[in-house]
Amino acid sequence: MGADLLNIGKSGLFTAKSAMSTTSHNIANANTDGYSRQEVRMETSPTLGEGDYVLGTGVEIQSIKRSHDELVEKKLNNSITGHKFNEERTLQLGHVEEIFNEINSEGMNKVLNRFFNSFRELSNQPENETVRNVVKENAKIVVGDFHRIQKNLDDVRASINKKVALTVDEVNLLTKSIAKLNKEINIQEVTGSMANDLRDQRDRALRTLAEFFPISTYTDNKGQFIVGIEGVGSIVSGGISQDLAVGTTVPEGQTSADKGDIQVFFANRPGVPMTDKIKGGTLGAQIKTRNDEIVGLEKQVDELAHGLVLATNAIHRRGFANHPVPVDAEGNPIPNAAQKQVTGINFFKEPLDLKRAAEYISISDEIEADVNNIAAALEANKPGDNRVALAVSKLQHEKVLGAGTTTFEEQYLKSVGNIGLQAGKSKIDEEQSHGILAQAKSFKERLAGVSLDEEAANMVRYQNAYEASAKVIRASDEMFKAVLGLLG
Amino acid sequence: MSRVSENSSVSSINYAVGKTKGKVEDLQLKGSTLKRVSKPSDDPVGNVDLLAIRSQNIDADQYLRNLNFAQTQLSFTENILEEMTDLLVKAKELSVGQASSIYSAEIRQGVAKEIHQIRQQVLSLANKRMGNRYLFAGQKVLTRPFDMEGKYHGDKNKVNIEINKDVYVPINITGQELFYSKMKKPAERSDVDLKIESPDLNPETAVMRKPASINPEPQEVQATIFDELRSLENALLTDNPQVIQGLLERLDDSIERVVTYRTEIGALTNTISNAEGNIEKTKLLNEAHKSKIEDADVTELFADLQKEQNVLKATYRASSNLMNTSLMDFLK
Repeated sequence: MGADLLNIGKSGLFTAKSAMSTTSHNIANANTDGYSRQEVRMETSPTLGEGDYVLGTGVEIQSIKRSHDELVEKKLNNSITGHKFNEERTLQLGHVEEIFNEINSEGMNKVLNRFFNSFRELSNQPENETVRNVVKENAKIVVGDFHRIQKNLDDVRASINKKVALTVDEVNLLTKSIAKLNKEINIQEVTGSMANDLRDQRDRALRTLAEFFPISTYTDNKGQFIVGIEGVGSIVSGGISQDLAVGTTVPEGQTSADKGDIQVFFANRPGVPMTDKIKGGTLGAQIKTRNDEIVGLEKQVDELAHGLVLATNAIHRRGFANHPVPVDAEGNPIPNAAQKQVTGINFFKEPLDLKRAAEYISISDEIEADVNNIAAALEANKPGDNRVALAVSKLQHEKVLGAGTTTFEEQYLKSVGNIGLQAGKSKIDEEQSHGILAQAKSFKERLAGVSLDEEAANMVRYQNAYEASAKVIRASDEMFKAVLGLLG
Repeated sequence: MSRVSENSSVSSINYAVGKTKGKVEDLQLKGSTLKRVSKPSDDPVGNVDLLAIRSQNIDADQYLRNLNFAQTQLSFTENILEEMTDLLVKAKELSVGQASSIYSAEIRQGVAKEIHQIRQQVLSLANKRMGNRYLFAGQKVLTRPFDMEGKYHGDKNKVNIEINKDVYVPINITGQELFYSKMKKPAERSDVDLKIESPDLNPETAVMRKPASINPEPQEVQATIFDELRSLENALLTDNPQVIQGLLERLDDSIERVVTYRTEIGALTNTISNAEGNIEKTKLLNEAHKSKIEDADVTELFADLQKEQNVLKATYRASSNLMNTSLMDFLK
């Protein structure tokens, strides 16, 4: 009986000590990222029947459980994916938006307007060489601004491509470590105990992964832990991870992305890009911004440049440069191969193609060489004839683009308005998703986070239990001694 | 009862402080620039309106410049026409007496000399330039319109200038219409009315249309003012009152023509002043509209700023209380 008492005391002492060490572990990890508080679950030891009575034999540890809820965890991962998408999109659209921001600076709208107005000025004094120079300079500014927009869009695009490639590297590292953790967890849990800290580490890795794209996780019927990209497929199954890879090959039939843009695919299936299937997270935001906004804007800017060049040239070619032309009795120019070209001159270089028109736009060699080649007159030998200059300036308000539905300015402002709307929307979305994320985080932390107050209370509790158990042992010792004293 | 853990309270503090600080920062930026729009996404629609308004204002400034240019050239022309009228009237007055046979051949010789002088003066007026532009040469602005014989080398073309969106005014009178007499009375002429009309801007049709007349050769029946003055001079020299009488009527026609053009320039000047008024008005309205879109409401802005700063202070205070107390303080 006395021995039993000692054992009971010992079990109490031991359990209290374990509980104490779990509490210390909790306190020590109060600020560890992704740590879930642990709790010692205790139960009574198997009882002993003794005659008519059932006697308790003390306490034992059932398990050490971490505070964890799969649903809360999944919700948190979703909120992370959602917020990271909006955050990254706001960032990228901010870059794009800045290219088209001309509230406090010069921009395409202003320089284009100046370009047309310089032709209006030319219509006042077509014979004035200074005004001709102004026209040329303004045209150069327009050309420069097209190049600026094109280059900046290209830069944003290149930086996105780089980011996508880097993200894929990081994803591969993460999936490898998740696969490794899966293995270790399996080994540790074979004995029946929970690999709490390893599971925390895996959850943390999953949360990082969820920043890049929407993930789905489940345990299959063989007990394998599976991680997948939503809408794409699994990237980790149990101890095996699937590497992602990037490349610039665009297979037949893919139109959403341009050649030269980075595509994402499984390393072992390079022919099947998954780029367009990724719909969330930073990766989703980068891909969406690249494929929707940047490609769209480049196209619109190209259309603008192309339309401007074609329309200006079409009118300009009809005009006569400011050079004397020999004429016949009816006043028609006498064709002469040797003489200088006086009509049919292009103002801008004719573009080869609509694509990249904004990159290739430039002033024609004739205009570059001599501003008197700017054709303001509709008839030869009339330095005061301003009809072509007027017609060019008139293009400003004419519906030239979109099959005769919009003016240059309307078309450009539509693009700017749209990017402003998208950027504004993503900012509002970001604010909202930030709130949702904060809520999900706080939900998780309430459940799994360490409360120092709670731990302090537990510490007192277990300390007292320990002391009491020690006293039990001493009491049993004294009882033993009393019995031994009888003998003595 | 919901648990509160260290991390949950820290993250909720972070969230609350971050959110309020973000708002204060945004308001402070607006407060320092006094603009409520600093990038397209601040007000996508307003931004587009702003850019469109700015374009209109640049256009308006250009129209004002065009208008001033037109104004200058027209008043320059008007002055010349005034001088010219005076000269022609003087020529007429000198000759009126000579149409009768009262005066002697010697006196007529003297008058002939004066008429010769007047002709030279009118010729020099006809070749006047503004800057390096000949005023009466049509579109051949760099060609001297009349030679010593009074032969015209300009063309019949008007130079139109856009003084407001789609409003064009001709800013020149060609030597052709001013100096050549017409068989019809000026009042019946329909082809020389100075009207506000838009030029043919469609290059397609403009080019297909045969150039009106590059060749300024007048018709047989038309004579220039210079011809008339020369004939007058000759008639005086040859002492021929009948011819003088006939020429005086034609001179009257010419004076009337010059005066008519002067009046029409006056009318154009009015049109231009009206256009100027309209443009200034549009600019003013645009400014008001622009300010409404981009300028921050100062009272509202600073009231908001004050409010958010108070919220931020309260958040700090609450956070410091939360973070500085723990159960540990109360355990012995």
